[in-house]
Amino acid sequence: MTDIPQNLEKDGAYTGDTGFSPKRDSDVEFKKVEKQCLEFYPKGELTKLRKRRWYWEIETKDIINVADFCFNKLGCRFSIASGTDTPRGFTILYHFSLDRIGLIINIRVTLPHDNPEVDSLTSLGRGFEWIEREMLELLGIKFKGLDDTRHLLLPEDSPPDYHPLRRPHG
Amino acid sequence: MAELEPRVIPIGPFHPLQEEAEYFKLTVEGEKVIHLDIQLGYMHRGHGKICEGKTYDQIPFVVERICGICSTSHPFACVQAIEDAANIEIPPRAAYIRSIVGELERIHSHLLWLGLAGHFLGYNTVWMWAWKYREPVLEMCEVITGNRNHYAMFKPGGVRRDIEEGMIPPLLQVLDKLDKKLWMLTKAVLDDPVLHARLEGVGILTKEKAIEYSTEGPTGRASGVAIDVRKDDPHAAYDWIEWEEIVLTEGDVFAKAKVRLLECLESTKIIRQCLEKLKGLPEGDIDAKMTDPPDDEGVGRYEAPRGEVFHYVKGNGSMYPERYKIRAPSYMNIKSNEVAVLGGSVADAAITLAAVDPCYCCTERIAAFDTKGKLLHTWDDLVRLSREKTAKMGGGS
Repeated sequence: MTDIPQNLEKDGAYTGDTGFSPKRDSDVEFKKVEKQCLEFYPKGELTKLRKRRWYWEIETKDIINVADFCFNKLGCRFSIASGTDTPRGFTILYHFSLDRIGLIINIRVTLPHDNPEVDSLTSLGRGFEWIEREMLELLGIKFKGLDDTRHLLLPEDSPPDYHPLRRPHG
Repeated sequence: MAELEPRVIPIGPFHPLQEEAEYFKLTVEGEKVIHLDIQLGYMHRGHGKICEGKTYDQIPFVVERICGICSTSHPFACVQAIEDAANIEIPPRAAYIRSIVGELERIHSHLLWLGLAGHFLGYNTVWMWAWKYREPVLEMCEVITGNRNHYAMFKPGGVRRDIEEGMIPPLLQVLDKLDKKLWMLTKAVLDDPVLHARLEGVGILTKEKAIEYSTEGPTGRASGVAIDVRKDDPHAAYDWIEWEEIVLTEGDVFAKAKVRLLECLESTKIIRQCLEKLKGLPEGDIDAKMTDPPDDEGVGRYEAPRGEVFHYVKGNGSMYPERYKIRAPSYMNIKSNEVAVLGGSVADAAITLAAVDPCYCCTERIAAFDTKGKLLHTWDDLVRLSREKTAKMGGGS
């Protein structure tokens, strides 16, 4: 009884259905994705800092639409989100990875200091839940539609207004 | 017969098998798992925040301490993030050396997981064999970097130590021997009726769920999600050599084991090619000096043994980053246990929860020296001491 794939012995390794992708370095693919992005959300400001690192500034209220476009239409994988406390407000960078061409689309939203609130993306997939819980406790950003608001990293009994990644501005 | 009421079985906060603090709350109905709640936070050390108080030269050493096993994956992603922000290219020799160290780490990490998986199943033969063949890999690491773990090889702009010409032939020899042993181990494991019976069809993660949970690394690749940062977003030397991405479709624990074993063989292929390529490059050209601190933001990622390590750095022109974000692969993978463990039996939960290879530190070697630096126990001494103790306990020879 053996379960070794037949070509394993011959070639030294079993290969999946993907190998080198000719699309990966093709400028045409990058242009196509850029066009799709701009057509979908022309209001946004798309900065191509490096060939494979794009930063896309959008309005906070549109985050679900744009994230849905990236996650479901473009077929991106959600890598992670980074929240930062900056003098002009809280910024969240949602890092979406388009593995087909090795591109990272960083979607940036900025929230005001006095009422930081943004729509939760948990309706798109369960993979968004932990990072939103993390930003909720570390930065105090509220996520509309996030059901589970327990602490993720901080102790259960840490006070609700304790947000260690907040910074003094003034 | 009375209806079964759901019961809760807690695993943790100190996991009885994985020496790591995390808490799995299994809800079971009879033998069947119907819900899983995962609680983290016992190990949170705030490395991102610590890094914001360190200079760009110091950060690779801080992030190296995040994990003992992926001790080169975090610096790998970190230096790439800094280089991305500062927009510098590294010399080819440094790129090859980075790939060599990264792949050595992958082999020893996968063998470590395989051994532990065997141990979790109560099949310690697998554990002993896997860890035996892990040893030459650690020794190769020691020859190249000076350490079995925590290599301190990476810096923004290149690597800190070169691999000299004379070191290459002996390394290739070890690699040849290792290849044979890895083949033997792979075949033995894939052919083992016990492992088949115990792992096949257990803890299945479907492709849809793997995508929804954004899983990555061997966890995703065993479920048919063909993502590998080394292929998709080429960096270091991965684009200049030939190797294959391993993707399977079954999604069970056996497929995850198979992906890891086959990846070890790919890794030896990568290391061999990199060592050969090093011969043609000028020695010593391993560092593109980073002169100015970055003023931009950058993203660095690397395919660690467990999946994509993601580092984000925001520079402001000073020596310190304004924001440093770290995301280890287990952060995305562990959550997928919620679905992988459902419907399975309690007895399978331990191995299913371990199948994503949650990351933890490991240091298994001791050396006893006296104050003047003389080694107190040789290997033979330790074996003798161990046998004497066993005999004293009445356990035989």
